[in-house]
Amino acid sequence: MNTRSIRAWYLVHKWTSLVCTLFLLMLCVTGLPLIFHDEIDALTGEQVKMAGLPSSGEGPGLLPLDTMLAKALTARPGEVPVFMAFDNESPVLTVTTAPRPDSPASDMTIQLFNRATGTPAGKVDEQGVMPFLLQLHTDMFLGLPGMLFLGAMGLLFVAAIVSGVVLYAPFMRKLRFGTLRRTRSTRLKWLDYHNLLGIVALAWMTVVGLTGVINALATPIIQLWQMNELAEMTRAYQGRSALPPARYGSLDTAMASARKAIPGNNPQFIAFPGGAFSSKHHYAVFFQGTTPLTERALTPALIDAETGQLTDVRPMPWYTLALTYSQPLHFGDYGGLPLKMLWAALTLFTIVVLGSGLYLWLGRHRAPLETRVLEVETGGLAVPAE
Amino acid sequence: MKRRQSKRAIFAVPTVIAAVSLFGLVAALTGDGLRDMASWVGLAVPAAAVAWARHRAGPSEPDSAQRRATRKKGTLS
Repeated sequence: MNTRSIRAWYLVHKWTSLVCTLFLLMLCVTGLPLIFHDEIDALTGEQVKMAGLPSSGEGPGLLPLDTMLAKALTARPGEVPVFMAFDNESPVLTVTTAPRPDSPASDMTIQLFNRATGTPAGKVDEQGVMPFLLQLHTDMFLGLPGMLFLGAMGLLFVAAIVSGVVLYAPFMRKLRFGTLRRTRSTRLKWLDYHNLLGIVALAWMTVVGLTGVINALATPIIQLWQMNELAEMTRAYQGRSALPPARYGSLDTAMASARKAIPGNNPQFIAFPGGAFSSKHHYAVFFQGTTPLTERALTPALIDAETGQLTDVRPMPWYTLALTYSQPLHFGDYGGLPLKMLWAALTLFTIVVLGSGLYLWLGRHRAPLETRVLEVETGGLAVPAE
Repeated sequence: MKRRQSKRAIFAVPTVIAAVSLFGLVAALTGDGLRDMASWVGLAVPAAAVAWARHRAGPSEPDSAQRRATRKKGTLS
């Protein structure tokens, strides 16, 4: 690689990093506790672990869905149901209600029930430190614009990773992998750490960065699905006015029709009419796949909410599947506590890469560009003057 | 190392680490138990590489051992 192309890549690396570094540091610092949110919630929350039949099942020992919904609506008079979600491990069932079918998430209330006994099963803490960190991490309290902004920062982060890998080649030309010169100067030490940590965490940082970008696009992705596949599935209902909640039919009849259409699979959640995940006339029952790998690939059965009859079943398209798989690959919550601890270690590596990058730039940003490029070309031996 | 290395040589170890990390990232998605353990091994490799590099680099202050020795001598006399 000649000096001119190193210079160009150096400038790409510098500017993409500089713009996103502070936001990425915020994302790493807030993301670190969020990795362990299950463990932290278990320590601090009121949510009790309960044994019994899984709420995603059916048959004796589990109360009817209509009974569960009635209990939830009694607790929130005047509200309408938005989601009902099931669990494969315990009888816990969650019901989300809101003033209107299309209310924003901030107006929704989540109630937990034990479907075996019908009793409330704790609350979802929406005021504590963890929800605060999650909101900061997701959209910085700015809603959709904040999400899209952080998505753009994620794209810059990926561009910084790519340009960093390109610069790794001339930097390491005369150095062995894993070189750490910790005794010559503080700058050389952090330059070596920046390169080493960056290159070993490369795959993880790229995956977590890209899946973060996809998660940031969740709203437009779901809207796209609503406009395309969902609109096609419910074509016969186009032009009809929204079904009023008073005319919603039995959930148990709807679930029976849905199970008949997709036998053997577990339902993950029901989206009620008028929300982001259904039409204005349907219960959308989302079923999981049957193997560990396809469990997250959901298939919705659209059930006429008034009659309880099946309208259509269709697997989710590739772009919503990308969103579905981006969640575990971003959160790191899919392989037990050891995976979470490795996730935290790699987050710390990323913090050091970001911090050392900032330090290296701050230390010599007044030096002429040529000498800073020379530093990359010589593997850090030609140190730019202040 | 004074010799100029080829790109292939420079990226040999990083490519293996990236491949093993990606294997680890996907392994736990495909099931539990052994597959979870495979993911722990895969993602432990980047951390192990850093630990190895630090070990090879030796103490971060070259004179720390010497200083300890002098200090000891000082207390003795």
